[in-house]
Amino acid sequence: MLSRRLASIQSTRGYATKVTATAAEGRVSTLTVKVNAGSRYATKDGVSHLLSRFNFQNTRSRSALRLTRESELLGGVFSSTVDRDAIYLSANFLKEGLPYYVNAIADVLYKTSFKPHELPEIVLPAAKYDLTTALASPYFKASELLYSASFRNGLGNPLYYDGVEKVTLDDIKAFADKVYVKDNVEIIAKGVDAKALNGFVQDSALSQLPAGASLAATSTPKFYEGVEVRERAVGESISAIAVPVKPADFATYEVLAAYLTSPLSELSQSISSASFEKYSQAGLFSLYVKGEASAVASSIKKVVSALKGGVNLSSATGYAATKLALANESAVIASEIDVANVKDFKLGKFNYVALGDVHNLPYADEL
Amino acid sequence: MLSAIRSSVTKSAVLKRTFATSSGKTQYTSLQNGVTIATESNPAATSASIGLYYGAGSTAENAWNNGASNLLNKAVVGENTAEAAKKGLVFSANTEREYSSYLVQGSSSSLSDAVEFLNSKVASFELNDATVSKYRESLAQEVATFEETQFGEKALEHLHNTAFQNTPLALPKRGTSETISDLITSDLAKFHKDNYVSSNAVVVATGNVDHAAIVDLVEKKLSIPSGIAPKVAAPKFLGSEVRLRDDTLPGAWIALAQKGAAVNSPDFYVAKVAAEIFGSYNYHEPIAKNLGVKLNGVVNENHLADTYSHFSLSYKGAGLFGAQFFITNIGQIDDFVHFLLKEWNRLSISITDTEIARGKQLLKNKLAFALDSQAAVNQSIGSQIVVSGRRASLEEAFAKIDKVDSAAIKAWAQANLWDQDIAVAGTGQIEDLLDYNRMRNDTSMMRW
Repeated sequence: MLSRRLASIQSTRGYATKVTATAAEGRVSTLTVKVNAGSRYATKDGVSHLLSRFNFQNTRSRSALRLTRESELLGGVFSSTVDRDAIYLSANFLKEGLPYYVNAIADVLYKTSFKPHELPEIVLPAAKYDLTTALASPYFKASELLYSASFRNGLGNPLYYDGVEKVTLDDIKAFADKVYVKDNVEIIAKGVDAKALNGFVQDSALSQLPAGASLAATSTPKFYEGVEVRERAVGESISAIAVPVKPADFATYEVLAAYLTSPLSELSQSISSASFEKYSQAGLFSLYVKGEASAVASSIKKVVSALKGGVNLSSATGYAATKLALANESAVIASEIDVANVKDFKLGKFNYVALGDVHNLPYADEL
Repeated sequence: MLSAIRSSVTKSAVLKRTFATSSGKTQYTSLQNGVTIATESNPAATSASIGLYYGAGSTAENAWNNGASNLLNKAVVGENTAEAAKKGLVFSANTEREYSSYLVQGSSSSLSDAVEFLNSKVASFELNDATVSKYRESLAQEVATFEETQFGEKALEHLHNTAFQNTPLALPKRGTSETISDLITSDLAKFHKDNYVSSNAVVVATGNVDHAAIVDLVEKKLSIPSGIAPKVAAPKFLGSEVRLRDDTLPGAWIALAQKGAAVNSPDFYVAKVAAEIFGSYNYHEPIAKNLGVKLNGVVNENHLADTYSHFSLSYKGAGLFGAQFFITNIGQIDDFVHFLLKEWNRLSISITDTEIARGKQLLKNKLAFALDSQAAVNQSIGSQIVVSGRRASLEEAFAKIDKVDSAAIKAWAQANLWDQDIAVAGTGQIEDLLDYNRMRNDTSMMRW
């Protein structure tokens, strides 16, 4: 926790929305509303992304223009981001603006107008820009394929709207009605007084949100392993492997990702990127080798055979613990993983993606 | 201080949260050998960071050893990161124009290890030919790649080069692939010996740390050779331009600036507020149409620019106020530059109180949220002390920002922007970037 915590108070008094408030000294606060409405819960591909892009547009109480202009004068900045788990509506602002920002975000959840012209004129171009920017990175393409191979549905859904499955304004409205309900949203505030926050939340539209079930996953989704995907593309080639992970194994893969990207491992020279992404009830470890196809082919073979032979991770637990502590200090929601007892790792079944000059990239059974 | 400006209207990829140590009390101690120690304690933190800052970056170099600070930095990190990781420490380093920093992060119980590490691996780093040649090639390659891919940054580098020509601030902070390939061990050894000395060093500890314990540790375990670092010549702004036209690139990257405020200038926050009045812009973000910036109207309507970002960069004895922008509408670069400079004119004559109030609030937000990680806080403290001799707390910065008003902005702009020289650097398809004198003429108007 980077903030000087004075007290962290959780409460659900009077309404079913979970509120976590952390007091802190200083001049600024952050307010985040986490909605379990990420791409894994999407009713149609990309609807989460479009809903996220609809946030902070016109509402019945304020136009988008007014919201931006008012917020600027109060010294605050809004953002709405989407990942596979959730949509996060966030405001970073000077402390004295708390009542305004609670009210503004509440209105976005409860009163967004969804005007017909906003979809083609504002939301779709912005969504297309997100997708184009993301697709400029071959890592993103490979990662989408790995998620799809490992989970098929749910976590395997595409993160961004790509227009393959048409999404109408009514689909977005219906999805908003389904996800913006009391039990499905969580309020996380840093640098605020818990009592004051509770008061402002009660007075805002957040307390008027309809009741409804939480969408949060409660069981581990089905994993698919041993899948291979090959796709031709111009540009640099990528060979990537991924392993879907159960919550019980989170610590091992956390250390593994830290180990493989640090000079502790000889393999780090051959690996372009390795990461472990954690979601509710499941995670995905992925490893990428990027570059010219023949070099990629020899590197990925070397890396996979070394991982199949097993690696000893006990020397990397201290390093991984430090990395995790530093990440937690800046994270909206800290992950509580104890990496101290991690011992070793051996690669079993995995999913494989070859992207680029596939003619010169190895097949999964050659690894 | 370049890092302070890299912001845009795009949604933040990573959610930031508040980070309150920025308001915490910083405690200072100066040791007898001249080393300054600053700590900012946060008992709630689970980790601790200790940074060693030297007031020597590319400005401490010359045309013949340019890139030495960068190569030294890379060699120290490359040789020692694995050893740090074995001890559970995360080691990183950074070179800027006016300082080099080395940061070790770990648990609070590992502080003693961390200080010993800084002592043996940084303060008394032993260089040999094998090490230098090992990192020289890869760094030269890295810098060449930078020049071939990061065009916005490249324009900004060339802006410094032309605006401060023949002074130390002109040297590229990374060096160039040519100068780096020519460096030999004795260049680095001399740079280390001359600049990594006690009067030029600051130790900063943040996170779960205790000031007295840190002072004790540094006194016992960190031995930095005493000495006075060589004096760096004063920079001087010169209106000028440099054009690196390349019609094979998919657009134009241009940086344009006028004389700004130095780090210890009384106008430091005035220039920062002025930059924030125009802020940054991304054509593709829906919010760009709603921002309270007059310039955005004409830019949006005609797609004059894809992105722009204003900056107020401050160094010892000099600064740059300006903007960098990326344009794909390459037939209207002249229009964008014209409207941009006409807006800057308004800072001297007709800037409104609302625009200033908005700029002040957004600057406060930016300063506070820039301190979003322990490394950022450590760097903020270390770099400011080592460059300007002191660090303004967030409280102090906010108080000074509150004092900025339209009279201050106008007085500063009339002295530094109105009818004053400009520096311009551009790369990509810049055929339509007007002749220097046409741009220079736009810094004033025929009417008041």
